[in-house]
Amino acid sequence: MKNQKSRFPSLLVVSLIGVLALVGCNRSGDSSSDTTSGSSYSEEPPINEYEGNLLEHEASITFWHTMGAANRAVLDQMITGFNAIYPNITITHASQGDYDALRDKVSAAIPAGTTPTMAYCYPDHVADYMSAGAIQNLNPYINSTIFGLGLEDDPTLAGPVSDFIPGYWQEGREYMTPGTYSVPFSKSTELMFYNKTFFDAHSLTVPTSWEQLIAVARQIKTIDPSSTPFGYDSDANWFITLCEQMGIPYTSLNADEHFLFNNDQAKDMVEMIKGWYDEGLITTQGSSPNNAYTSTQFTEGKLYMTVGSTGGTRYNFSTNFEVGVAAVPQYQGSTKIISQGPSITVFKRATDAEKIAAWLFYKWISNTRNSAVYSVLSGYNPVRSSSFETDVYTTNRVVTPGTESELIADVAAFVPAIEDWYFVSPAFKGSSTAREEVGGILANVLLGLKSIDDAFYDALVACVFSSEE
Amino acid sequence: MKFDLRKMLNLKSSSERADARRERPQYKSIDTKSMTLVLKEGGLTAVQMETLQKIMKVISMVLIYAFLAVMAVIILLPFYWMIITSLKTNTEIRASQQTFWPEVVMWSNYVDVFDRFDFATYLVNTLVVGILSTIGTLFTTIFAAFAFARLQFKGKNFLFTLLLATMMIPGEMMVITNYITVANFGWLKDQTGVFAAMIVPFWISVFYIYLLRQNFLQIPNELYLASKVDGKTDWNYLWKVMVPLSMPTLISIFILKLMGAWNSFVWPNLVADKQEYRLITNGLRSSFSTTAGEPEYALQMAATVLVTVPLLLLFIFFRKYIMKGVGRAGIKG
Repeated sequence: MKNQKSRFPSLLVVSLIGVLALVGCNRSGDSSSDTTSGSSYSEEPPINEYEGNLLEHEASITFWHTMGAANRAVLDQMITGFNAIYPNITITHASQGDYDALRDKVSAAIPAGTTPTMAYCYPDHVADYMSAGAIQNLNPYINSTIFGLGLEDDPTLAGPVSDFIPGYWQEGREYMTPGTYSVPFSKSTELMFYNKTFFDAHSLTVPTSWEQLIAVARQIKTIDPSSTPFGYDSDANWFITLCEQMGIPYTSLNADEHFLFNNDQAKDMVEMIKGWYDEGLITTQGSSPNNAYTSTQFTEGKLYMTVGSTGGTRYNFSTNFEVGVAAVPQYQGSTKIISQGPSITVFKRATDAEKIAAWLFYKWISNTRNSAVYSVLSGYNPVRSSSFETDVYTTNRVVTPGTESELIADVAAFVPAIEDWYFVSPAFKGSSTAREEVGGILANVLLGLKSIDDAFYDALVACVFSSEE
Repeated sequence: MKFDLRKMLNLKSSSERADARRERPQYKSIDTKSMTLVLKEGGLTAVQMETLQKIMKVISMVLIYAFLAVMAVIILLPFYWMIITSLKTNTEIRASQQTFWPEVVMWSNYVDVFDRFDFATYLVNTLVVGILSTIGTLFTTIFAAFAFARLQFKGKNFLFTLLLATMMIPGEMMVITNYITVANFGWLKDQTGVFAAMIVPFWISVFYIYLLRQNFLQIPNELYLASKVDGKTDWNYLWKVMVPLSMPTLISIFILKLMGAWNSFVWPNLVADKQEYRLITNGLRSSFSTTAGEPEYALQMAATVLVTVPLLLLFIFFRKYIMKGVGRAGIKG
């Protein structure tokens, strides 16, 4: 009894201390966000101060990315070239693992005040960082008459904004606050790969619209009844791309109604795909056994057409047949394909000199030649139209016949034709959940796990919860 | 009153015993060889019962071993999968039908790993962090456990409750606050600082303090009093008596902590922001990707096999101590 009496107050004190500690945490959280928006740096770069003397200010910048060893070696070469122009700028860079690890680290570094100067990013990461007020609007840098884009005699050789592929550039402007918060670096899109040997043997026409695709798929089904003619690797991308092509609302930047996908048109669209699936004409990764990539099923000869990321071109290569490259089929003359791949963002906390240094470095690594170099290395697309013309991208490319490098070269030769087709979805807190959820709708409905109405309703609920967390 | 003890105990006198011998019937000699004694219980003879017992024993052994075999397969399957993945080509790893044995055995994956993976740096980093954090933990644990088990001071129980209460907070919740703390200490700027950030926050383990305190409490008071009579200080008693007596627990804490440091991922991944500061687990995750950023699972698994071997050997050779120490405190770790 005595024991119980003495324990009760001690437990009470323990819980009180716990509550106080939590209150303390909250306060310290507030103060850290205060310093983020404080006056240790300025919104506008101090342009006058730097006029004509960009070389005199020493700056050390840090760049966080997800590059593997081979990519880091190429980045090191670019840094050497950059330091020949700006020896006063020291650049350290490090891979932080994969994109999720990078986001987690940046998310921890923001409250701790240890953010790098610049980092690789995806739009939904930037939307998260922006909600903590951590991202620098790059408009003043882009438009600066001293170190902006497209200036004459610019040592970084960075052409004007109009040289960037419009869809890629637009991505950095699709946030809740007006401005440019990320700039493109290494981008990819989706293309359709088809079994050219099979198409040629049976005189099939490569489809350019969904209508034609289904007609061709039915033809293939009569030739090879055991096959599934068409596969789309990313369930989410198919949903989002079709919405964009058919003009169906998906998401918006309007904070009151971010999630628009729960509508009758979208449901009709899913019903249409379900019809194709039940007919045995199409599949997706989410509805395939073992979640097998459709690119894998394609190379195994189980599919005759597949849509996949250009970043993963090599996974569509097969030694058993010739692979052809075509645009993703369109809906009634639309010209829309999704834009993917990492961009670069600059953090507010850096000093003025560091931010200018980061901007100069970005201009260098994204110039016509360097963008082409990185594209050839990674298989991703260059971010500038002018890169398509460079010898690095065209004639000097090392291609070994009969290997995946041949298919990568085919893709490289194809993408300039679709450079105006890219679209991006708005990025906000919850936009990545919306992406996952609509992918889930497609997989669940195709597999018959949920009715169309239930799948849409569940997805909407998940999205609303994630945005209110 | 006179008690006839013999009557009370129902014993026979010597004359009565002689009468009884005379009255005993005289048996004919019987051929016992042709006789069988049949004992039956539940309608079964002894032989049948013996057979039945044997059958039951066999069945139960079969069931037990079948259960153990199934469990062993479940536990070993990930290891097996790791090994075969390390020997497959990337095409086979991505195949829609997975195979239980590689079609082409790629021993070259192991050669490639040595070119691509900086074993020496990661191993040295992991050992430095592992050993320093383990030694630090042992010291804090011994002192704290001694205080809570042996010393008498005001608020002892309260403090101990407070410590135990912190076990209710999941470690993940402290990641951000710890990160902010080490960042404010200025530890994230150079290698020494980053190593300190990976070591110091893990010097205190409430679970090990609790484990060792329970162990210390089992040491009889008499030993303490005897050492006091001998004029020993608490310090001497701790190191000369308690620590040697608790050696098995301390060894298991040492091993568990070292294994924990070896396996730790989230925290080192967060604080070590340069390739050369990374520990082995983070190195494994971040060292193998194609130029397009796709993970190369075959190489990753080959490196994982090479890294898992030392830990497996550690466990095999020291499992006696691990089991002994944990078993003693009556707690499964």
